[in-house]
Amino acid sequence: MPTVRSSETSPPATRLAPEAIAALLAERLPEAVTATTVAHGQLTVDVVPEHLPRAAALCKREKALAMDFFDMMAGVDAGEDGFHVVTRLYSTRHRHAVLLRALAEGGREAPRLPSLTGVYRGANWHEREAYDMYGIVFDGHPGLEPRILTVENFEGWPLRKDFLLTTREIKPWPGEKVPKAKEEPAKADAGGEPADEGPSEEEKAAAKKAKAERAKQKAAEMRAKKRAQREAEAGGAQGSPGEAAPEAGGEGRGGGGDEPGKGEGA
Amino acid sequence: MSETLPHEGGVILPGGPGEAMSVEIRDGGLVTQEMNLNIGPQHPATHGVLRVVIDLDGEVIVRARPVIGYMHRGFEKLAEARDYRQIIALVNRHDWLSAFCNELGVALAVERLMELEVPERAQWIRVLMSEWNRILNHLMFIGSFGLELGAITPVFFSFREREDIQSFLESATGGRLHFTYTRVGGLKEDLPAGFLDASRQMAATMRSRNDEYRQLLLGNEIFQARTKGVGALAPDVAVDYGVTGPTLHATGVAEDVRLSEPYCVYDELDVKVPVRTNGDSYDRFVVLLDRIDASLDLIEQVHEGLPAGPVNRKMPKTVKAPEGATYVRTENPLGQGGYYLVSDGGKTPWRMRMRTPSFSNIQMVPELLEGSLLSDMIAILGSVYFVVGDVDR
Amino acid sequence: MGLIDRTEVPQPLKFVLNWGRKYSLWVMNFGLACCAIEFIATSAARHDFMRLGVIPFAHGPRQADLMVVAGTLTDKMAPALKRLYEQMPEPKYVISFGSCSNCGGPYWDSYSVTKGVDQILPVDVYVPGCPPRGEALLDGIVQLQERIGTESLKARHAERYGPRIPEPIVVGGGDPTRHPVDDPM
Repeated sequence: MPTVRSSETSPPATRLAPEAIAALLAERLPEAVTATTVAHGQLTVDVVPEHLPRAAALCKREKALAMDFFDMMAGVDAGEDGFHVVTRLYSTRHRHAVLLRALAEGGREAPRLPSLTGVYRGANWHEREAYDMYGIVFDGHPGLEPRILTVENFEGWPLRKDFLLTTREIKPWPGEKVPKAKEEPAKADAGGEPADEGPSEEEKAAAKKAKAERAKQKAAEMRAKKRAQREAEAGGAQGSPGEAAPEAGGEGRGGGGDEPGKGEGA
Repeated sequence: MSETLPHEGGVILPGGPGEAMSVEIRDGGLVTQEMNLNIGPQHPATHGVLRVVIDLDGEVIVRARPVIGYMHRGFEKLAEARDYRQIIALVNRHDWLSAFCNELGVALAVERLMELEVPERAQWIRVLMSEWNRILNHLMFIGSFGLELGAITPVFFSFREREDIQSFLESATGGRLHFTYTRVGGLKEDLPAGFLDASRQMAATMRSRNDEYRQLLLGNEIFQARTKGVGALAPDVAVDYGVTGPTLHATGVAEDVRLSEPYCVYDELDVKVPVRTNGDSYDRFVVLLDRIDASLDLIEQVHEGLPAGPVNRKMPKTVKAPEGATYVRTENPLGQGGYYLVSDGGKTPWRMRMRTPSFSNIQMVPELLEGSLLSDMIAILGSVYFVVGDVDR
Repeated sequence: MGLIDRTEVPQPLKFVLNWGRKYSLWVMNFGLACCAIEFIATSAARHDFMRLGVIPFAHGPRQADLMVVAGTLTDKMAPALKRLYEQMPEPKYVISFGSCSNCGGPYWDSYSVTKGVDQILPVDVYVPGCPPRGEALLDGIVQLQERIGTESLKARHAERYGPRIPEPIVVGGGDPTRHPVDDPM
């Protein structure tokens, strides 16, 4: 069978580093590119929304980029600013990729973006999904309705952060907390800690250790105090209480944890 | 229907009670009308609940429009409400024939954001499980493609293999279908005693049985007539739509994540990716059989090279991914699966976009269906491998 | 249906009719999701429910008497399910296979999933699991067959279209009623 082996396909020499792709895009479309970030070896280019189709077309047709593969398009809730739409384009020849990110105009009330269906046929259903999930309208799309994933008469835009899962509001998930014993009071941050099993072994041991240290320190202080008292009584006879006090003070403070020989620690 | 139906060039007159319908023939010949046929969502031959609305001119499909969403369960929203450990148990259910590969993508995404180093042995075992899952997935489609074309026998053969493979995978993971074996930072636990022997034995058996499948179907005249030349896909169209997996490899484009961006230990192994040139249904089917052989090669390499060591690492009590966004691709059996994970530093993801191979593959299907015959539709739909849970999530 | 649902059939004839009905259940494949794969695996050689008389691949709802709903039911798919159920002729039985069709399963909080197929159809057997093993489905079928062997169609018809549906079977025991909202588990 005709096969392609991994030993024959090392990364092509024409593969561009993320910084090189960023530089190329910024040079060719300075008015479109607002920011570039490289994280974990991947390039994210922030694009002005109205220039998104031009940027995508450049990625596709420019020989050095040759991003012919439409990978995916994702909507991301950006809080008050509105919604980002992230498009990933990939080159099968050069094996490099770029994530084009655009903030949809119109904020949260009426987000709009120009459509990429003129550039990539594969953008069609991804844009329909972004519309279905967020309500982002793509200008120039052949047909955003009927809704692609949810029921046709679904109300609301499911992936927006203000769309709550009503079942979770009514009934919290029973597995969120392991039921505690009755005498322990509920923890302060109720209602949001999955996988919280109460104090673990390590925490218990740490708490014990801290308690032991505090008790040791207290015992040493008591000893120092007693010694100071005795010496004060004795020194009252000898006449130098001032010496004993700093000594005792120094002992008390310095001997908080490292006087095991005294035998009075916890 | 009591009134006449006007149509260009002629009139169809429905008959009254007891009378036949009559058709007037005007100049230009017999009057025809396009018929709108709805396939699905419940249909024995579509894999699950996919609905295709087609307009037919006689037997020729003029327009085809897949309607999806009948299995939309809201994965992406549910992922935002679950922490990183719980998501793993959720995401193995969208491509339900290759559950381990889906979980692996999530774990890789979180590990990349946290910049975790996964132990060697865990990575090798992940490769082993991914490849066995690939074989399980392809076996299902080999069986069901024959079933749809009318050859009922291969499905029982392929389920025999699936049961054998599932039984030793169950000994390691505890599940027959949904494994939930990956954890962030490694695997749940090490392989049990006897697993590697069972795996070696099954690999040897599987090689001989792969020849059985070739003999069962490939030489059959009817099979060849129904699949050769049917649904030919051009490589540039496929790439424009984002098609991946065996469908793409059958057109000649050797785009495979294991070659272009290797994850786990694929860069240390000799990965073979079979390609063919025509891109029709026959080639897509043969690519599946070839891929099983290629996966068996990989499995044998893992058997020889599996190192000793731990399989997971100490993780904090709550797994929090630091702020950032990343996109992780894996080569799922059906194509390239991707996870775009946006984290705001909390226990649950801010956004988990699942890029599934079947979504892009099904988007391309109208290109193949339009212009072909209705009877070829089953051969085309059966050979563009998809799982409806993967399409709709 | 004729006489059978209006009169109580005398015992020897009733035994024969029930026996014929329970050992010739024709299943309508309503595989929706992952449980459908386990359903097919149960019909394949290792578990093989065909030896119990249950034949898969009915040609359509009108020739089927058992519907196994295997997989997640979404709100978009629910009307189609109801329509196909209504196309099945009486007497018909429903097995809810898998935890998604029992109660919504892992998607209990989703916005587009019907939490349990019993919101739409009357269910005779619940098979819990995610996905259930093939043996669980076999157990469910056998228990259903035992119930069919002793049932009276007149009582079933009256109950089905009356105020109460008969007590369903749950494979593995367990309470098919929903947990109350304030129940911690």
